[in-house]
Amino acid sequence: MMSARPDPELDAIFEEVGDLEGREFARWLHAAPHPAAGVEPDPRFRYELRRKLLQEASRRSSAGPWYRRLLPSPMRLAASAALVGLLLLALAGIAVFSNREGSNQQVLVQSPLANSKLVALAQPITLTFSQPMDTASVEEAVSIEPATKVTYRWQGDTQLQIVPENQLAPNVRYQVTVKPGAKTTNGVPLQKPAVIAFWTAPTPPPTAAPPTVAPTQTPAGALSGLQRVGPAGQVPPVWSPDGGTVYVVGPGGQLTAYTLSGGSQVIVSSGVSAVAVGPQGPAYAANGEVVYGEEKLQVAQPLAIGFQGGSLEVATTQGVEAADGSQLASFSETAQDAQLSPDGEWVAYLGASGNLHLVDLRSGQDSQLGPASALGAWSPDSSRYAYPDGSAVEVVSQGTAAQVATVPQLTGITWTSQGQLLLATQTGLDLMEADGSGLMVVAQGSFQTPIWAPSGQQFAFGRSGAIWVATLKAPASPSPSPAAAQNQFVSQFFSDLENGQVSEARALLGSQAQQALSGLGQLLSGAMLRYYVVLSQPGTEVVRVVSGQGSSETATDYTLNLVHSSGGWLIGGISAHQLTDFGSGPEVLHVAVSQSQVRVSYDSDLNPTTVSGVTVQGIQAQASYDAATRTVILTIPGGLTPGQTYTLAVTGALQDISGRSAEPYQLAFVGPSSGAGSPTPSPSPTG
Amino acid sequence: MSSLPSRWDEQAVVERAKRDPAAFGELYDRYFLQIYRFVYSKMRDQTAAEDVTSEVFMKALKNIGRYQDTGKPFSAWLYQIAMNSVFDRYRSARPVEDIDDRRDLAVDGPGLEEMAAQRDELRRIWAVVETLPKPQQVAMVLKFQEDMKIEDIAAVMGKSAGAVKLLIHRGVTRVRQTVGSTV
Repeated sequence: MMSARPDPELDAIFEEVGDLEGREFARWLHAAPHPAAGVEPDPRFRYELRRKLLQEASRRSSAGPWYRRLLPSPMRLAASAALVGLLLLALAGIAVFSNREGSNQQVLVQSPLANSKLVALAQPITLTFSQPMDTASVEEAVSIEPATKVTYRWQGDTQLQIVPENQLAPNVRYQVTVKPGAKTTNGVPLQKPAVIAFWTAPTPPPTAAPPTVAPTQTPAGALSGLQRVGPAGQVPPVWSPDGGTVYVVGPGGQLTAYTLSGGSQVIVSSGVSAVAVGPQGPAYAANGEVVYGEEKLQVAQPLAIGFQGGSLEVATTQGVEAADGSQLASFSETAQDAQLSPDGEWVAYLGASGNLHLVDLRSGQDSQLGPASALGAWSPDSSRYAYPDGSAVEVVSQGTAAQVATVPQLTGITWTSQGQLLLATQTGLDLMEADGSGLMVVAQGSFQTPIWAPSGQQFAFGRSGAIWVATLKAPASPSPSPAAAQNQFVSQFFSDLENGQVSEARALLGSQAQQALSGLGQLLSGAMLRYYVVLSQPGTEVVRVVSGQGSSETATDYTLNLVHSSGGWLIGGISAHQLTDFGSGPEVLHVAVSQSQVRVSYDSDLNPTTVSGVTVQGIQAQASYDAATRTVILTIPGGLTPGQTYTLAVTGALQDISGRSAEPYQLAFVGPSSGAGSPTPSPSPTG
Repeated sequence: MSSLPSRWDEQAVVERAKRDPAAFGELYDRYFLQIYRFVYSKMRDQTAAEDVTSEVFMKALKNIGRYQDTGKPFSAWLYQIAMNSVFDRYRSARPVEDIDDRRDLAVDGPGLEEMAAQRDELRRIWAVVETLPKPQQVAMVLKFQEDMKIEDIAAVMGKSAGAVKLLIHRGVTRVRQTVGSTV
């Protein structure tokens, strides 16, 4: 039974008539989530309704003051007379009242990040004030939790950008508070603290150190079927969904469909500046129009065309428009180039500042990710975006960009249908996994703007002023490492719980864990806000589950003992440890153990002189601090003994830069075997 | 259940929205989800919920100039509009059989274990709530689902606080009698 949450008002209703059973039932019902509580409205509906309301509001506003429409004509006259009277009084120097913004009105503070989930980690926090502010007093009055080193940038005296010195920590609830010490330029203070809260995106998928080493050599005969298609222009080619036709925009903007089995057809003779293929065939932008079958849209400065559920959408220099002319998103800066995702729910654009932005077209949220040297490519399932920044290859996943490789002379990126990255360079073609592993050269020569066919093993590319196609027998993706498979299994368990699929989650438990789980009601209560892996070792995972509501969050670390069963993994045992006063000081986010080091990452910027508050019990370790990653590094001379259990201990001596002490915390881990990176299966559970 | 914003914030935004209709967007952002979910819980149909939610906010926009702060949360006013819009919709379109169908579904739920059973139980309970007389239904939804104060519910429903308490007590008693004491 879920814990009952008393509400004095509700209790009183039943206590007054002595109905204590009724009171208990009411308490239970009050605490339980309503079946409609998790219903999510269609974001497009939400956005469209907002747009219509603001349009209507604006129309009403431009029609004149509201009171004028509400008053009958004779009263309008009376009101005008009163207004003239007030003006005369004002001219005579008598203060009557002021209803203007910017005088003695209350100060409103807003932020586009307020209550946002999955906020990108490289992100300034923008606050907008309803009145001109005394900037020094605001900076004094701003505080951020978890403690974060920031700098301040003002645009005028009403907009403040808080720029974190390092990336924000993943999986964290941030709270920015502007205290009443903040004043307007007229000296009017905030009447009470303004609080903006948001949640950051989860940790990006673990990546190896970006490989800059020379890739392994070309597998013999990997590339075959090289075929020249036609002359290349400025627009990258696109494939038909069946991979049988390539649409190429030539030098004069001529759009031609080339069938790989032979034959070609000119679709438009000139002026094409963008092309895409939808369910009904090609769509193109030419001479101020976007044409798709019978549909013709007048669109100014189209940059890219895409489809959402079969409906056309067009990215322009200013935003994204739907076929009915409605605005799906507005860009925060003018776009130079844009790419819509295959599912049509995202757009990547390169701003005039040289920064790459990703925009969620369901919510309109525009996230600036940082500099990019060109646009890149969306993964076939639209969940990831790869792009170049000089020779660095960055992959964005779940709102966070991570550098996965460094490849000199990069000229283009595409995703294979198997989810690998094909990188074109001036000297060859490289292939690697999306996390940068397994980088290999698959062909020598000059390649530009590769575009993988939606299915199969073919791709198109540019070379010497022409578009070519070739077949690449890409090596199969290696099966996931045991460590990755273990993580994937644990993610599945928590994801099932998060989605309310309790029986599916239970199916992953051994009998002992089934019994243990019965005592862990919180895990099944559906109150989970987020979860993340704190420690992953062979056979053991420690996963933190954060629950709660509003600003009140609690956290519990669940230790899962994993065993191999005939069908794969099984959770053999599960235990819980609730954290004390979660969020009241710096919190451990992740612990990585190697033979000679234990690296403990935090959510807060730490005071480096206090990192001796992190120790491994019974071991002499040297503690150092990497500020960029908020990580305490414990180096163990002589190394850890393989298989021996140790305890990581954090004491209150550890402090963040605001002087807040860490709550005492302990975490057991095992010394890894030398050279071993894979989980060692524990014995199967009995029964 | 989402918590209501503080009175200070709310008043300031509402007052600004009166003078500057564009500021209505802030109120929309703040209350959209609450109102949508409230409406959805009554309509149980996405298209209908979208229609009614649009109607609620359009009405609110048209009438915000007449809105007067009486010490009640602004959301109470929105809920009042939402409740009226839902009832208008029920009156004009809702087939009576739906409620009966729902009652059958509610009683026939399979007995699942532990949490799955609890979720199922909740669905049954709320399905029973939907069979209650409308005033009991509204009072229960606003109290248990929207976590509103009795006084605010009274303002939304145009009834006294005492009458609201009575509605809640009767509603809870009726639900308990129908589903039995299985929780």
